[in-house]
Amino acid sequence: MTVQNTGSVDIFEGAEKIEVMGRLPALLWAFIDAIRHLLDNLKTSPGQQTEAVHEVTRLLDVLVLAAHHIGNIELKTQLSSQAEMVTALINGGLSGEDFIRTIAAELPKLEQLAGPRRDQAGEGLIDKVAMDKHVDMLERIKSGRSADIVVSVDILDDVRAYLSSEVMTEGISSVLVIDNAGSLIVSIGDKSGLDVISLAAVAAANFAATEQIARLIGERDFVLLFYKGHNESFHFSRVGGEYIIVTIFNNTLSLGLLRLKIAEVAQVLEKKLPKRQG
Amino acid sequence: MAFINKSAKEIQVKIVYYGPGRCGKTTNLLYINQKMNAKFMGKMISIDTRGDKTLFFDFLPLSLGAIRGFNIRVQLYTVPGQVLYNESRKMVLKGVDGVVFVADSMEVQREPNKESLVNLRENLSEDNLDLDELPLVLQLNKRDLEGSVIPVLDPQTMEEDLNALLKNPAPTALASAIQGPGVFETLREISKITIKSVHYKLRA
Repeated sequence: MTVQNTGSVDIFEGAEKIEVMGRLPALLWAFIDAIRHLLDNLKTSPGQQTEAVHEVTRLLDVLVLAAHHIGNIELKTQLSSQAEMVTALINGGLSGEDFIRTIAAELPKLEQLAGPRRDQAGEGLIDKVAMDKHVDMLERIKSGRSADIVVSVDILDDVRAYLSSEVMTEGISSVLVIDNAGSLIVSIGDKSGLDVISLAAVAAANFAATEQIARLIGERDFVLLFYKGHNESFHFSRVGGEYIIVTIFNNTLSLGLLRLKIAEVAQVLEKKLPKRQG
Repeated sequence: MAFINKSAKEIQVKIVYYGPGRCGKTTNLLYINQKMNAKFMGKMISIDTRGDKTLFFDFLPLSLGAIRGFNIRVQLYTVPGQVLYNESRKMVLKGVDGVVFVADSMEVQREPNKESLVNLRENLSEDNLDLDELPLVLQLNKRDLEGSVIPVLDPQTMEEDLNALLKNPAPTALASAIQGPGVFETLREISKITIKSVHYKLRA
């Protein structure tokens, strides 16, 4: 979920490719439907197909990217010829009638690539709404690994400097800022042997789990969690809607003092850190 | 480790959907949640990143009739498939009574399928459970991709691959969780063999 420069690993590496591949046939069928719709429009009311063209180009963009992801040359060629035709139609380089004639010859090839159609029964989860969601999601993947939150290096440095000077005091061994999806954004501290990447993932899962508990009692979420250990304790606090700040401290520090400090820090960080895009 | 409540005359069994990341475990549960009569079903709880990847688990309680006067309550769980989340997977697996192994039919997922099954065996053994003793159903998912531009494995190869890692061949179901076929067949099969094994333990 996060583009960052902290040298951490991409924990979902490769997942997008699997995702794209699984949805490709359904997307291809949606594209074929959109083309058919466009053809119908061209035949019945020429000159009024802006919406249909928009739908076609939207799906085409996503499909070209998907073909690139999976590296299928046949599909790539097929799609680029479709793209050329659509562009020609928009520019006026190809008349409506010519477009109908040429594309009608191409459609069976696409159908063959899409494989047998299985979503017609209307039984499955893929309906129009779900399809729109899929397209949206795949569109997001277009700009690399989903750029939902982009934290620039400047912001990271600023946050790191702020945390080091304002939070790190006697008794606190580590402070982590993570996002809801479990990606580590900033980690400072001197606790040796601490596996921060795993800690971020498990902490986010833990926060999500307690959020479900909160929902069961009618709360939206719990904004603060505290776990007391024998020697060291954990403190989790929400920062805005996207981030969680995790503090590890030993028992010489009073919890009340820490809570005061973190409440203040959370407000500052909320202003510093970017919001989710889209 | 089914939970048998003799005073309430109720047996609770736990079934976990296991498999590599992105293979469709949550989709299985979503489909069941969507299609089953709400009367026999509790609320589905999903702990994920905004309807995307499962972060911890999904949970769906069902009730499936009665045997010998005992009501059967089935709790369906899924695990996060991503390799990183092994600790969460271990936690979800605690006290499991039956496993549905969801295998991805896409050719690129051939190795991840096998790795995930091996990982299942390891994680079970940490809880002193033996995969060969546990009720298990193999679900070959994403069969809807067959015949499309995406290369898929044929069912036979997948069965051979996975059964080579097991002592006894497990029952197999072909499925397409996103469209429905095979989802209830899988659930029926795993419930049948899980309840049979619980029943067997009950008599012992």
